[in-house]
Order: sequence, then C-alpha cells, then structure tokens
Amino acid sequence: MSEPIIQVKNLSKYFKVYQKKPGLLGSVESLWHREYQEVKAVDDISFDINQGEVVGFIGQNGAGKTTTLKMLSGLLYPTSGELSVLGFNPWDRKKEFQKQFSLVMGQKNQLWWDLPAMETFLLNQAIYEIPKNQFKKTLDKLVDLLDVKDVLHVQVRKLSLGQRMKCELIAALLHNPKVLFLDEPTIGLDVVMQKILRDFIKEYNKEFGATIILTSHYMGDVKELCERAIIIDHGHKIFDGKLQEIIDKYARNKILSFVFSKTIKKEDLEKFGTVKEFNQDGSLQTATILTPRLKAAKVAAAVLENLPVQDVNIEEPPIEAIIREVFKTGNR
Amino acid sequence: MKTKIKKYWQLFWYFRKLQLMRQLEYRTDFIFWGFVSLMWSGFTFFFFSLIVRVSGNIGGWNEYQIYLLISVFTILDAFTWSFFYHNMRYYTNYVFSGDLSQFLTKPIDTQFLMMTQNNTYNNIFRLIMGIVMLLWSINKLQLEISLLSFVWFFYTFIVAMLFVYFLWFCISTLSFYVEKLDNINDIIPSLRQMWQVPEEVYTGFFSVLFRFIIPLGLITSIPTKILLGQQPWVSTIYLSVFTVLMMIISRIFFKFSLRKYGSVGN
Repeated sequence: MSEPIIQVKNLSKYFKVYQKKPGLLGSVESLWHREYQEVKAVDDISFDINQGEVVGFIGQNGAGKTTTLKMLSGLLYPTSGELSVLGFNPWDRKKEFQKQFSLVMGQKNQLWWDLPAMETFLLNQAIYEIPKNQFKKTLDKLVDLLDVKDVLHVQVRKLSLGQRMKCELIAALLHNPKVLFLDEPTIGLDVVMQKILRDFIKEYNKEFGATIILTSHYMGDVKELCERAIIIDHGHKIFDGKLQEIIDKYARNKILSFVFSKTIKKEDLEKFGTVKEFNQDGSLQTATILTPRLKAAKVAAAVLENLPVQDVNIEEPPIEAIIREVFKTGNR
Repeated sequence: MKTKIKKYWQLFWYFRKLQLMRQLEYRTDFIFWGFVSLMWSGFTFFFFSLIVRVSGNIGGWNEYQIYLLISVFTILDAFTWSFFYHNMRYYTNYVFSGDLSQFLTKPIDTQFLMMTQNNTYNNIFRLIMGIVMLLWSINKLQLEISLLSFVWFFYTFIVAMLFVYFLWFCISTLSFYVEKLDNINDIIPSLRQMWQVPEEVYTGFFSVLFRFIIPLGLITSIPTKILLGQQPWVSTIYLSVFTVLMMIISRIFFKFSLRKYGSVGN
C-alpha cells in the first residue's frame, strides 16, 4: 500500500489574541495595557489522506478547518506537530512542492480585477512554467468543463460571482495540481452554480486523480463530493471516517413518515415516538415521528398493526441535523 | 541558475505589460495623474528657485547646481514613486487583509512577486521633465560628462534607488508586528525631503545622522556631485556597502517575519 500523500501528526496551532474591554474606557485603557488570550485554533490533530481521496472538513465557524488547510499549504507555521504533504514540509515552501498543489479560498481571489481572466491564466502559465501545449490542453479542458468560453476575455470586475468563481478555479488548476485545497469554494453561490461546481470537482477528481480536501458549511458539498469526513470541533478532531459512519455513530433516531387512510388522534401516535409533524392534507392525514434507531423497525411494525397506515417511509435524519446535534451536545 | 534568472526577467517585463494594459483601461485617470505628478515636480523646481534667488546658495550650492540636484531627485522620485510606492502600500495591506496568502503559495520568490507586480506609468511625464531639466542644468553649468562619469553616475543612481527600496521594505515589514499601521508607507515619502537638498546643509548632529547613521543625505548628492565633476569615492563606497547591508537585513527580516504571519480568519 503506497504511503499517504498527506500525513498529519499531533498538529497544533495556537494564536495570541488581544482581548479588548468594551466601550471607550476599554479602548483608552488598551493604549498602555492589553490582555492577551491564547486561542488553540488547532489542537493535537492527526490524520492521513491517501492519493485520490476527497475528504470533507466539517466544523462550525472557528473550529480550525481553515487554519488546518493553511498549515497544509504552508501559509501558517504550526505551533507543534509534524506535517507532510507530497513528501514535503509545507512551510519550507519549496518550489517543487508549490507546483504540485493549489489552494482555492472562496472568499479570496487571484484574478486581476481590471483585466480579463485570460491574462491571469497566462501569468500563471509563466509563474508555474507550464509548457505551451500542456497549458492549452488543460485550459481547453477546464473551459469546456466549466463552460466559460464566452467570458475569458471580459474584465473580471464585470463578471458575476459564479463566473468569477469558475475562472478562479481554472486559474488554480492550470498547473494540474496533485493536491487541491478548497476552502468554502461554493460560498455565496446560488444553488445552480453550487451544483455546477460540485459536478466539476467530481469530474476533476475522476479525470486527474487529484487528492482534494474541502471545507464547507454547505452539507450538500460534503454529501455530494466526499466519501470521507473529518469533523473538527474547537480545534480537536472528533470524527474521521466515512459519512455513513457519522450517521451510524451519532444519529440517535430515525424518522418515520406515515400517510394514514383514516383520521387518527395525535395521542394515539404519541405512544410510539416523538411526534414531529401531524398534518391534515385534504382527506389524507400525514405524520412524522422520531424513534430510537434500533427500535425503528419494531415501531414501524407496531404502528402498521395498530393504526390505519396507507404508506410508510423510514429514513435517516438529514446529516446537517446530525452534525448540529454533535456540536450542540459536544458529543465525542 | 540561468533559467531562473531568465524566468524572473521575463516575469518582470510581463508585469510591466500587464500594468500598462491595466492603466490604459482608465485613460482619464492615467492622464489626470500624469498631470498631477508633473505639477508636483514643477512646484518643487519653482520652490527651490525662489529660495536660491533670495539666499544665493543652499549649502554652498549655486542656483544651477541646485537645479541639477533637483533634476536628479526628480528622476529618482519618478522611479521610486512608479515602482515602490504602490507595491509597498499593497504589501502592508496584503499582510493586514490576509491577501499575502495568495503570494505565499506560488512557486516564485514571494518578495519578488509582491514587489514587482505593480507599478504606475503616470510618472513618465515627471521623468521626462527631470531629464530635460538635467540636460538643461548640465548645459547651463557647461559641464563635460565623460563616459566614466556617466557610468559612475548611473551606478550611484541605481545604488541610491536600491537603498531607498531596502529601507522602505524594512519599514513596511513592520506590518507583520503591528496590526494596523496605515501611515507606515508615508514615512519614506515624508523623508524624501531629506535628500531633496545637498548633504552640506546638514551640520552637527544632523550631519552624523543623515550622512552616516542613515545616509539619506547622500542619496541625491553623490550622483549629482559626480555630474559636477567631483569624485566622491568614499561616499560612493560607503553608500554601496550600506545598501548591501540593508539588502541583507531586509531579506532576513522579511523571512523571519513570514513565520509570524497569521493570515486572517474567514
């Protein structure tokens, strides 16, 4: 088995943050005396990622996802721990390493604002020393996949957010990086554009075999793209495994949805589980209950036996709800 | 090594091309700022001509020698304002805003990328004005410039420009340590007045300060004295050595400061 392409061992990053007292007096006092607090943005995390994997980093705001990505790409110097990406120490910032990875941050841009995106692409060709033929081939492929042929020669400042994001991705991928760090790549985009970008990332991974680490607040990104997820909470890694395992490990309940052929009383249903919804839709009555996972089949059978059920559906809770629950309860 | 130099050389000129394209997108802005920069230099010449006409000389330099000095200053200013001012301003802003991250991930020297990416062309009018005034002053003073003098002048001009750059870069690197330092890029522009006058105006403590400790007073004086037929060997060597030291210090300082870079939160 080949060595993992990314190896992280006991990685930590602490920041010193200035704590200001509120109000004008607090501001005046801060002129000569400031209190600092140490923030453990990333605290002793370890994981390995193999070539070709697409891994999602999930966590609340301030969990440490972006800080981890920045250390992986050599932007930040770790406080402690060991780190290897493609066999390099990222913070050495060797040119050979930088030519093999790319970092795309959804809220930052590298395109020259006043010029068409094509100019930035040509600049990147020069910076990354991409041979002419390879550049043309890759560019044509990416432009085709993202369907941006018509906007390549338009000033970037005149493009829509979605078009700009597509061009940003192209600029980041022209040199065919082996490792791709995507930090909130779909932030601010509409649902259609989100889907387009997700399809593109999937296709890129399939075609080029790139290893991708993605952070996103949109669970849709993680669900569609990542088989594996790492959950980070307050700088700690609390889960690392397949998405389905999150459901198996953290989902306490299953959702049972019923359609009844006759009107029933809510109290009759409450005997079987927590009633979340109870609606009358014309002549049909619908209801949803939550029940412990292990009892879901038995409860469904009991309801079917005792109440006039026309249709039943058993499903897992949405992964967003599970993750929310994980963070709310601090479940480890 | 040769390939590396070629790559950086090509990139340098590619940035110049991109910047020209950028600025030509906004024609009115380009022309307006060209006019403004010309007015600045015009006013400088006028201001000094008033002083010299009343006082007769400045630091022992007569009227046309002062014009020669101001011409050299104007040419130097045109270059520093074109190539350094905006890059230094962007540099401190990159550190503050977290945009430095985009430079750190590129397979090219970060300092080179940051410092050569931007420049303006609207000082070209000021440059032309400076050259015209230089030639006019040389003519008025009836100076004969030998090839050696020209080469020496050119060398000290480059050294002076580099000295300004490394000093400015060091000061701007302080932005890694101070969260927000808006006026830091105004320090060097403010200090320009120190080398807008002959070094001889500085006496006593200020002579030591501006001719030895931080030799700002030598920046324009040395190249001008060469054109005047003088041979300031000691000052040339001193400024050259000082500039090399500044280059080493600024580089080490920058590399060390990068470790402090904390980017910004999302």
